[in-house]
Amino acid sequence: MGGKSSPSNSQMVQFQMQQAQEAREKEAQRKARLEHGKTTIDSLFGDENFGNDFYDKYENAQLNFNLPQVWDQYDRARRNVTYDLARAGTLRSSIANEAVADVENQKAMNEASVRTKADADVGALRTSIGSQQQQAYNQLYATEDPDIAATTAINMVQNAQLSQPNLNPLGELFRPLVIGATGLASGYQEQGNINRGMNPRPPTGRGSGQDYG
Amino acid sequence: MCDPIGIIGLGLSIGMAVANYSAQQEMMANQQAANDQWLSYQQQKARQENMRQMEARQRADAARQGTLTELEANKQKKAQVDEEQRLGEKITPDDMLDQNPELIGDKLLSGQQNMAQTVGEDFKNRVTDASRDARKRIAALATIQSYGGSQNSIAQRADDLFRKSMQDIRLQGDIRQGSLAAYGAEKQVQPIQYTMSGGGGGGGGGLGNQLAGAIGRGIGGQLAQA
Repeated sequence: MGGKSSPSNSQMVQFQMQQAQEAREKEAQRKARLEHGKTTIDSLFGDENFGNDFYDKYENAQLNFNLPQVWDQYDRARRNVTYDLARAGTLRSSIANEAVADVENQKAMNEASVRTKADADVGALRTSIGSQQQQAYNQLYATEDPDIAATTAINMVQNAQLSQPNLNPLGELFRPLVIGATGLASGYQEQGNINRGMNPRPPTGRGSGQDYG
Repeated sequence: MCDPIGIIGLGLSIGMAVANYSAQQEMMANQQAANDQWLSYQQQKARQENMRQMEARQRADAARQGTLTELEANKQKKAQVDEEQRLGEKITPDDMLDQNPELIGDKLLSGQQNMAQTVGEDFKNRVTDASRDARKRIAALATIQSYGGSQNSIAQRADDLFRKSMQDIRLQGDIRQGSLAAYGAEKQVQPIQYTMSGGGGGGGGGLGNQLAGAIGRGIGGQLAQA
């Protein structure tokens, strides 16, 4: 007889089995909580809650902010083309058709660019909401596992930031064709008249000198 | 003829065996009591640790659930609209002619004060239209910013909510880790262990052995003299 009495008697084995059973039950509860939590998060961030109406509002705001700038510049470009054509005396000419077509083309391209940017920004918004969903998952797992909590806290800071759309006024979008080579000639003529001490004929009334053609 | 010394030795041997048996029983009882005490201690510590872990996890979960509740779509949409309105009021200039027509005089260029009535009407209409268009675009700008970028935008709001709840979750996680470490030390506690040999633990058994040794030495001496 004698020797050490170890704690591995039947009571202790029973205790360890009881602990193992409790661990198994706790793991089953943990699994159930994770599944329930994930389902809740999926539902919260799903299409039913963050549907197209949510994103459409953002996209429309972007278009309502940027498209009027395009349209303003388009109107101005059209007016300038009209004035330039009139000044050049080419309002009814093939160059006029070409100039107007060119402005229309630029308008279409600029509008497409603005719409594309708005669409891309909606994509960024979706990513931002997706990032919120990911953070919700991270917190779910961090709640269940204390080892994850610390690293998650460090990594999650500002994950959900939405990249900012360009809100600066759009630059010069339209570059109409240069119209009025004849304007260059008339400018040259006006300078010649000035050099000769004569005023060119104004739009109304008479100039100080005779007509030089 | 029976040898009296042999009888005495036999008696002593039986006595020793009885003493040994008794000591062994006592030791086993003591060991059982020590094991029971240890088991009770371990069960209590396990229950306490389970409770602490559960409470800390529930506190962390409450923080998490609180954030999720605030991130429900209807609350996010309301927060967006509220911020849109706040921002719209904040960034819209006060002197917009479409809603403040009395400010027409302030908008006139110097030298325009005595313009003809029709020209004046045209001026007013144009500036009012311009104000109206600007107001629409400012409203659109407020909407864009309310999604992300402004101080109370929904992106900013979500970040704040996640940050606060994560701080709580991390605190509870840290508490749980610390408690688990302490529980690890508690689990290392072993029961008192009793031994028969060495005269230390058994008590009765050791005494019996010493007694038997002394008697054995006495008998050996008598036999040598005979």
